[in-house]
Amino acid sequence: MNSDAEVSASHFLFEMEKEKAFPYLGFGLGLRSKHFQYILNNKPEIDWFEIISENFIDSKGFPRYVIHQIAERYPVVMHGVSMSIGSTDPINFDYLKKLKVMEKEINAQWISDHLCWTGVLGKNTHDLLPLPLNEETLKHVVERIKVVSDFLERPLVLENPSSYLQFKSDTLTEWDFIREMANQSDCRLLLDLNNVYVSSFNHQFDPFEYVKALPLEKVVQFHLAGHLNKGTHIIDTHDNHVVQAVWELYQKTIQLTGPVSTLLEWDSNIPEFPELKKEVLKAKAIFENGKLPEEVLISNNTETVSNALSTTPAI
Amino acid sequence: MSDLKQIQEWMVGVITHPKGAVIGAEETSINDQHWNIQSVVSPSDTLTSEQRIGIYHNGYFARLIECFKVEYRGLLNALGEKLFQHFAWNFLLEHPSTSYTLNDLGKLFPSFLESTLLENESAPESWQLFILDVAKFERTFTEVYNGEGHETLLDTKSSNQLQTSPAIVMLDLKFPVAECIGHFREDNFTSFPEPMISHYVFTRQNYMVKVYRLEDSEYQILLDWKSGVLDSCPDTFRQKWKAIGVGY
Ligand SMILES: [Fe+2]
Repeated sequence: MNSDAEVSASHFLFEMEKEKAFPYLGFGLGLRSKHFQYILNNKPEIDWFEIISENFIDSKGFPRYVIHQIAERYPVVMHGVSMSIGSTDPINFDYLKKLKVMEKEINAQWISDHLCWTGVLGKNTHDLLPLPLNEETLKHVVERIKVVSDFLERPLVLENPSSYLQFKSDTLTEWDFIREMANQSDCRLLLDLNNVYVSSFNHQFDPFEYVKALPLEKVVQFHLAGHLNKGTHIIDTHDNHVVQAVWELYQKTIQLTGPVSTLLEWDSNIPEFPELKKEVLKAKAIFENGKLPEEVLISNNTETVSNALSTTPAI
Repeated sequence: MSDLKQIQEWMVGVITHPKGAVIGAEETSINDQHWNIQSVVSPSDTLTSEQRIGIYHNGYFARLIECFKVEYRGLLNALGEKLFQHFAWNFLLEHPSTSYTLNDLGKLFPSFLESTLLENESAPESWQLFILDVAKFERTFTEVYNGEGHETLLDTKSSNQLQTSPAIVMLDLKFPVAECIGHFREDNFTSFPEPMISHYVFTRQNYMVKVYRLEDSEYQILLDWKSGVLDSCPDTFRQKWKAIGVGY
């Protein structure tokens, strides 16, 4: 049996390991091809970048060159959209291999993806589809997290998705599912507060109750983004400023978590880099002096598709 | 329905069905059984089960067609929104994505257009041939941008002999696409150009894609050098081809 001293020493070592594996990075931005040239030319002051892994792992051209340059100057996190951790199709080890290669090349801080599935029977919808939240799915996801993190030789980080439907076969709330998933596996959490808000509107629950029910010590990163409120439901468009209610949720959440690496995502109608930076600095101001930003009342929002994923260059 | 695999197969059947989610559910069977949407998806206070799964149905087509629009922006402007959507939609039904990456999605679009447009056409119209040229051109641009180049090979190159860059792609088109594509992609499409035999070479220098027009004779010689019929670069072109990134 361990003595008290042994227990606290091992707890201390665990905390040290966690620090090393998931350092606090500050306030970062999602790297988008629109800003490649600006970043190379201006080397803007920003704490860190997050890449969409799929936009880089197969490139033998400019995107790969850019990420090598950026990784020399900034910490980089790899965020994927294709792991399909909840799918009943076999795990794609070729894809995981490519993640691993890139992770080494750019010394990625961690690798994340979403609690979702993207397709089945070999067909990929390229959407982050919701899972039925029950014991069967929980067992399936936990098993696959173990396989993936063993292969990647590091804990996987999973993000709560935004969703537009719930299944009749749900027996767990999303927060109970995620808490159990984190407890039963070695995964860490990427808490997307915009997604919590979007889903809370679509499924009528209290977003802060959701946050409070999570194992917050496992949260290694936040996402913030904008969305489109259609009145009857919200679409997670990532095409606009973060809404006030999400800033408020962020403000309340960081009072519980303390400093957690925070990242702004903006995927459609992407503004110029300085405006993007201004948006993430709003999070920094909330963190440093609790000050909520001025509310953006009018925005020229036209997109209705969630999470655009393409990065084809302009001719 | 509770089995995870069954739910996933059912949902993909429904949200990728060409006639919408409701008919999709009627026409999707898993192990010879049909499920109506209400038996699988819960409604919310504001949306029915059908409307909720409909969001994913709309999203599937809209998202992927949006990717086509970015890659084939010149084609979109030349065809117009309605016709472009029609082709992209039909393409998706025939060639749904089976890859983790969206990079592969548009690969077969030019050949799909070719078989669709020229099917039963003994004498294709000029606009049809132009459309096919634009599609080929835009896809080639994407592939050269993402593909292998000689940028990282320069440091390890041992011989002084000029070698063909792995980046180069040669295109033999019926229209002067390179000269007008920039204009089209800027939403300034007004009319089709006159036909003109156009030999192009796509190269890449410092990761930037460049396209050059070549005279017929130069094009033929480059083809020979690239395919190994000529074992070294002809002196006449050595300087130029090095300068434009055809060789390194
Ligand atoms: Fe996110």
